[in-house]
Amino acid sequence: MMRLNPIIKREIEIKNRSLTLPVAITVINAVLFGIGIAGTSAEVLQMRTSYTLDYGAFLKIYVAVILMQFVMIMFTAPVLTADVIAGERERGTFDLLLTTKLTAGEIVAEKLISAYINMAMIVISGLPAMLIPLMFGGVHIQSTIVMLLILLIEAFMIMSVGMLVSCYCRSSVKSIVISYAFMIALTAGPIVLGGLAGLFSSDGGNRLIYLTAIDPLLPVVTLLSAQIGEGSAIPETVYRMLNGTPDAAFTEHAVLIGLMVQAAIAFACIVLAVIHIMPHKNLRTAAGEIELVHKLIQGKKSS
Amino acid sequence: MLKLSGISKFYGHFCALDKLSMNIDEGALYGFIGPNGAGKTTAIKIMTGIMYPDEGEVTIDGMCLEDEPEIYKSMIGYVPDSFGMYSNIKVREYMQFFAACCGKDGMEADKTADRLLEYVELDNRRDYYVEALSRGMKQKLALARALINDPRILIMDEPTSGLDPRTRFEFKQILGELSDNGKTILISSHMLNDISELCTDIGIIDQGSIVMSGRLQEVMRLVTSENPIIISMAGKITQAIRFLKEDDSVKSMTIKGSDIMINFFGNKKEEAELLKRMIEAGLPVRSFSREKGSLESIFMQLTGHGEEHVTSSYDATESHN
Repeated sequence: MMRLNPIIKREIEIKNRSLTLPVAITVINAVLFGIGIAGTSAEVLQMRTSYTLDYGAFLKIYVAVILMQFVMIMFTAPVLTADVIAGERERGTFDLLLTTKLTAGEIVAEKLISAYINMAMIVISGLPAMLIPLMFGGVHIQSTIVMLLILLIEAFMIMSVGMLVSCYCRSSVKSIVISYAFMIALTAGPIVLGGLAGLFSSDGGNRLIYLTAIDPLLPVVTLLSAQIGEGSAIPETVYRMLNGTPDAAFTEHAVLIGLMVQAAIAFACIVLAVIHIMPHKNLRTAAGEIELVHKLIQGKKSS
Repeated sequence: MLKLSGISKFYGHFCALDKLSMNIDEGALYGFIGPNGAGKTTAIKIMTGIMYPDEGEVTIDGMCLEDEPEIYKSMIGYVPDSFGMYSNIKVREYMQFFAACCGKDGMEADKTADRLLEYVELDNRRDYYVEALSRGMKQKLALARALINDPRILIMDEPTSGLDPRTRFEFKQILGELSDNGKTILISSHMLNDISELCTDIGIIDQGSIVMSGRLQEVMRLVTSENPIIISMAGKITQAIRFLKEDDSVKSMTIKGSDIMINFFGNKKEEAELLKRMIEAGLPVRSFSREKGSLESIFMQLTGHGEEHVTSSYDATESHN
């Protein structure tokens, strides 16, 4: 039988007693189902009058549901990670954790995993809403599952950033605000910076478009574009708007590149979080802690 | 047993601890006092392994914190002034959680939690939510948590602060019991009465350094020898003042009714000679003794506030004259 780490076990027990998670799941699903059902109903009503079924409209509903799911992740993830360490500091329990056998790496990993379990439950619970447009064809169920996995990876990246912010903040509220600022910077920053650089670049010569690789929206939009049969048309339109022409390899593998860059950001955030909270700051010990975090996260994923 | 050698800690350019050295003997009940901002909390965080020093080392029986942090931490129990309580968790679950964090699993964690809750008389509250406990009960729960590892050293920050007299009494009894059972206990507190009642040893910290430490009785004796002499007169006060003003060893005087309080710099023999000369001069001395030292007066003297006190006494004398 798998034995739960103490922090994960406690967080699950406490969350089970609280209404926060069920309420969050209900609200988020209400929004997603609202979009899915309203869009589908409108199309069905349209079909009754025109006697034609516009399959393209269902793809638009799919895009709307996925983008809303992404927005929900962006808004929920910082809330879930904001108090993981900052909250412990507020309650005065953080120092107590450091006096136990738990290392800084274990504390960060277990806190992140327990928050991520909740996030994953929220994201996965949105799968039925994502599948609504499939009733009339258009996107394969496998594609929807792949999209769900991408959203789960993006959620992990966003939560890693939130975790780092939580380690540096002494209050949960401050941590939430700064996490949102980071999310906005990561999502809108590359587009804004790219757009500004595009104004001063020769035709198609804006090299700052590669900054979009750090944007969590890039893999989602690129994959959506491919799934609805547009190929790479949507990201290419964005690149053109930014006055840039990326290498063909970048356009072709934008999803993979985006995920790799964001995985690197997540890893860097976790490493910095561990280094920040560990009482000792020599690099040899830090390397050991990071290895431990890596093992814990790997173990959790495989289990 | 617990030894801090040349500990320095900086927050940016601010030096919180300046080559702090202190030694706590096994079985001691050590009172750790100092004014706000003296470096007590930083020193405690270093002793508990929450924070590492920038310079110097902290050891338990020669074992260094940085070499064996896990073993070192298992020998320390820490009760912070904020208790460190979670909300939405029951008393027994709180204990089980920290027992698990300390490496105790399943049955062992349950047994440890139950035994310690019984020890601090919270066994009848094990199914209560932590936030429903009174301040005194939370303090007892924090103590029970600190004892999970059966630590050799217990470090407590303001343990009796904010407790009602009854709970404070009970808590002091528990600490006395723990001390009798061989635990080494460090108490950081502003409650100087509690420290002087409970502690066998004392360390006074000011501006990041220990300004005095040792057995409480010895420290009290040492400081008492520098306290003012109170001369109680049965009459002829004006003559007595004139007499004392002519003595070079008397540095200042304060008069309160028939009592004359003098700051006298001399040894016991010189004290006796002063008394002899007063009697020979026909001054009716009713009593002649050094003011007894209290922990508060030691604290005030050593942390710089005593100077203000002496100056104001002298001013009072001058104005009287």
